[in-house]
Amino acid sequence: MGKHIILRILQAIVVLFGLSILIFFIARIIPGDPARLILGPLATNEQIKELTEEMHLDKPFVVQYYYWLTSLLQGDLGKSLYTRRSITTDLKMFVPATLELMFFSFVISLIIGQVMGVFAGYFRDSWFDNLFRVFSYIGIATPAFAIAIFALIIFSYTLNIAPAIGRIGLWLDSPPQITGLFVIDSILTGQWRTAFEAFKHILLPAISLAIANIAQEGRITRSSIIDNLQKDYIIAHKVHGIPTRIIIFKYLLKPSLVPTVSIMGLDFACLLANAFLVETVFMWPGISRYGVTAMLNKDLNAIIAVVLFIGILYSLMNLIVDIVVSYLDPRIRLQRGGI
Amino acid sequence: MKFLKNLNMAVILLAVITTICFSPCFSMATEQNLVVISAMPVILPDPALAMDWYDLQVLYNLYSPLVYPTPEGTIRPHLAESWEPVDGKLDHWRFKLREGVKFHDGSELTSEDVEFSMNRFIEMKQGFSSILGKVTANAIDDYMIDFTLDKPNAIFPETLTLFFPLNKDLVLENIEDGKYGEFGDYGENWLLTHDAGSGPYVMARHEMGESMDAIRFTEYFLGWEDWEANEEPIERLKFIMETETSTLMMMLKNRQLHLEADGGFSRQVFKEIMESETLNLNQAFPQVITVWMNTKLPPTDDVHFRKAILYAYDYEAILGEYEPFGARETGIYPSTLPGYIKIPPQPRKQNLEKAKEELSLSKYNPADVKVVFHYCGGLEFEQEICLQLQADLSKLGINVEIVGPPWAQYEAECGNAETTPNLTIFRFPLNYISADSFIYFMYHPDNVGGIYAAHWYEDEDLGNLIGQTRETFDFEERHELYQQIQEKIAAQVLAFYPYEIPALFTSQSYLIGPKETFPVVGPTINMHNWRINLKTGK
Amino acid sequence: MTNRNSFINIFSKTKRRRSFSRGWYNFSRNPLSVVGMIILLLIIFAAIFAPYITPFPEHAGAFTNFREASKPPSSTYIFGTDSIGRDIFTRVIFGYRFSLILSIVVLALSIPPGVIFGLIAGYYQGTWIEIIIMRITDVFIAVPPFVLALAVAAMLSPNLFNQMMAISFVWWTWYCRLVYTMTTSLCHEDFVTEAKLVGASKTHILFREILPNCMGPILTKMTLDMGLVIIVGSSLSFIGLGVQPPKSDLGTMIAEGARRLPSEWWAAVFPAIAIIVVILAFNLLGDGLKDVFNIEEV
Repeated sequence: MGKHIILRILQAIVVLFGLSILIFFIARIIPGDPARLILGPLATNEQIKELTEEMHLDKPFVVQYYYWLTSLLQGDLGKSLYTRRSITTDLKMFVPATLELMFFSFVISLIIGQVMGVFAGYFRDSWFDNLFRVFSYIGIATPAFAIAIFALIIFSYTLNIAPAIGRIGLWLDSPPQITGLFVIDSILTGQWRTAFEAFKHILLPAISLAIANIAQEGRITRSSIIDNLQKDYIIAHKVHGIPTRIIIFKYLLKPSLVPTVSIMGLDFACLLANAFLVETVFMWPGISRYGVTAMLNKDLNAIIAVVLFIGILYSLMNLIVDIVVSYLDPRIRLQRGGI
Repeated sequence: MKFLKNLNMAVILLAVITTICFSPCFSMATEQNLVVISAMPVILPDPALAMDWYDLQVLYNLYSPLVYPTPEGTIRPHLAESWEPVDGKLDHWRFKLREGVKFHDGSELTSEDVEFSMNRFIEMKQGFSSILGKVTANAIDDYMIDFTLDKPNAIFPETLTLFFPLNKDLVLENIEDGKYGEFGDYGENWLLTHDAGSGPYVMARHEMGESMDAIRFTEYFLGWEDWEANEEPIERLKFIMETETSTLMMMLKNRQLHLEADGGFSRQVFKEIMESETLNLNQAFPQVITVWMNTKLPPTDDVHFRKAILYAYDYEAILGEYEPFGARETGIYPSTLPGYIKIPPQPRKQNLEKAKEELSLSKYNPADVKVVFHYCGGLEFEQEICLQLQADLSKLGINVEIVGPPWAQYEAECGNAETTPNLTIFRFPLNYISADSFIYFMYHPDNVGGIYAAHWYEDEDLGNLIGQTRETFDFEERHELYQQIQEKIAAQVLAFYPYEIPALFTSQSYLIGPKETFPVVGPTINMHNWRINLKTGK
Repeated sequence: MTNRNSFINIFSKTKRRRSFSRGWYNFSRNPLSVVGMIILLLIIFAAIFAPYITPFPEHAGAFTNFREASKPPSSTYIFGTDSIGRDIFTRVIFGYRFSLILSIVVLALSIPPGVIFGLIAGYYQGTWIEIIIMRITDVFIAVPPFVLALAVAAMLSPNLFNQMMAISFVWWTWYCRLVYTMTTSLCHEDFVTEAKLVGASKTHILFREILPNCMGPILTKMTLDMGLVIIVGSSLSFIGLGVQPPKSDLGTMIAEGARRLPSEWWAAVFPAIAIIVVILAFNLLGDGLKDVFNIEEV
């Protein structure tokens, strides 16, 4: 097991290295003149030329990559052309916001998705099951930005019961940074009001982000519950008169969890990608919105940093999923040797 | 089906919990004397880095410029009391500073600070510094300072509305490693989240890309008096970096936003605001919508073809009933500035006959050519103009291709004559209060190319004439030259100017102001220019 | 939104193709798939004949009418008009054209290379060819495909062709991995071994023996991907990397409508519903195909 994990980590490092080359290449050929962007529209050609040389932008691609890699190994991700700060400072600020959002929608999708899936599967063809199937079809078919916009229209503009933007109200200061997650930080420091506000602000974006995953996870749980219900041992339990509650929680849940957990890495990828849209709609000051701005503004270092960060997060998640799955179902460990 | 009953219960419970979570959120108590102002996503509050109008709006609150614009289109003393060219030479200026001006830390502003700030500005070579040219500063005594320029410039004092002195000692205390030798990074990093100014407000906190807080500077050198009894100075400002128009409108309605200073609403929303009793609509600085025509790229390299575009455009179509939000009468620079002249086409109306006539004079056959029109992706009004021109030119059989690339791409394209599209559209406000802000930076051959001059037209005679304006000290004489220049430019049809639109700022009605409205970017949103009526408000 | 289904290994339980009638029977047993197919046929019909069936076909081209701008839904404009005064219903139907073209072209561009690389990598299992191909695909899926497509799209000028290029650039890897997994298992099947024994050429084995048996999953994934590509494309358009105006594109329409919320809700809501309908139809059809080819999601 340990060997397997180490192998996976090494593999991930190789892949991330490849990713850095790919994304570096893409970022450098995005049209746009970074020097001109920094200096503003009134800059003279002479100024632009000077800065281009200073930033090594006139050098060949390989040399530029070498400079970037050496400074990366010294822990320096460079400066953002857009915010004019070091990328590390930017990441420190934006990453917790995204992690908070991810965390909440992950938890929401896991709990609601599982619960709905189990009930829908157990009460197959009941009104709840039918409702759930309609929901899951639509949930999967709806692009994240459309969900976010519908949520805004309904809850913010029409009902006026949810704040539309940001992480916290305008009249509150953000809590001292401990974990960077506003809700948790303010609970830790005992600022209940701030915690409540932060929670309210995160609810709508988190749910919008979670909908697609709820639909997908619920659907898979439902079908695996249905499969398992037809297994002999469950039927035997039923015949013996064991209460439904016990059948579900003791015998049905664990085997039915395996398919859900094994696609969890993919669900996470889905969250990561959808965050780019949901953060844009809700003006959530996270890494994805930062990434979109960076890409549209040709912010070389920021593009690379954001994409690599997402790559790392994603491989980490896949690793965790792997470990959890092999814990839940030892058979799978054997099947996954090669790829 | 006992379990199904439990299921129903669970669903109801879930619904109840959700309702509690989403209890109304607008009941929140609001602070009394706080004004929330909308701003662009990233603000560079450093006088040497600021390069756009929304940076200037913030700078005018935190810092004070050496000279101040006037609503009439001239300049008046501010940090500087008086100025004159030394021995009548326009490349050597002497400024006398006002005494007793205090920085936010209580220390006094002297010529040493001004000297340091000017050298910093010029040496960092960013933001608006290229407007000033190569300036060397020399402090003569505590309140007297000399500026030496590389070229004579009669408009030098006007350009100093973009120069904001910093507190030298404070900056030097906070420098980090950098490329400017003994000055390190010139405090560049520190100044992003702090200020070293003498303006009416002090930066309290800056979360880049999110919000900036500022509090009133009670010892501001112009004082806080001379207003009506129930009009109080605003104690606290909060700039929020938010541009989503639908959110901004909702915040205005909920009184969470007090001053919208982006002006990005659609005409329909502006109309709604104008009719609203709780909101005021203020017309701030004018902006000239300019559509550059690339004179080096076929088919717009033909002057008759360019003229045909002027006549083909339907000027009335977009604005129609929304005339107050934009004037059709436009020319080379804002019509409110002295020296402005009307240029063809007059009257400003679609004239397809004339357009066809011009087209027949040109060497191109409409069916064979394609006009490429780029606008900055996401800008609604600009896109509407593109679409209108496309529809109009299709009546002449000319095919227009519209693309809205992201800003970085758009700006890069304009850096080179071959990649600049036939037509590019921008809105230009005055950066400093002189026609020079438009004429010199858009039409002088030295400045050809880039978004300020994407027409790529170079003419030595025109260059000499423009150069002459900078050597002419007399105000009236200079404006006569400007008139000649405008006629010359108009004859070449380097651009087409569909509209002059004011920047429209929305404020809550209990905000009083602006006391003065300036035709340049920045000073109108100096919140020293505004007051709040706490009795009618909130 | 990202291509979730791409992550799902799909494999066929059966080794040889089934008869068409049996497949149709399986398909028609699922009423939802039939509904999906009917919706889809309607959409395709509407998209092809858009100039004849829409009330204002000129609104999809160089046209402005600011006097009719921002009108709510009425009997003349059943979905209302946008800020330029164009009929949203007309533009939605024309928008379907671009959505369908987008997904067809993207799949046409990304499936052939993906399948070929997958076949080769699977066939040369255990050699450096496999390692190189599969590691390259690893790099491409190290981040969610949308993120990479966004980076690529941002570097190109925003138009339909470049959007297709950007999505195809990241999409081929999924087919590569799918075909690779299937090939590695099929290589050990009897009929492949037999073909090898009688001396069939490598191309024959790859394209005549193995490929036909991958067709079921490929076809199913294709149908599901049609919807996914539309989602990715519209998401790119939503961010501002869509087709050039005045062409109508559902993602761009939603983005422009979103700016006018809440007063002009129709400008965003109707295009959004339109996009949901087409994706839903593809998903329903894809589910039906799964039954036909007896494919399981793992």
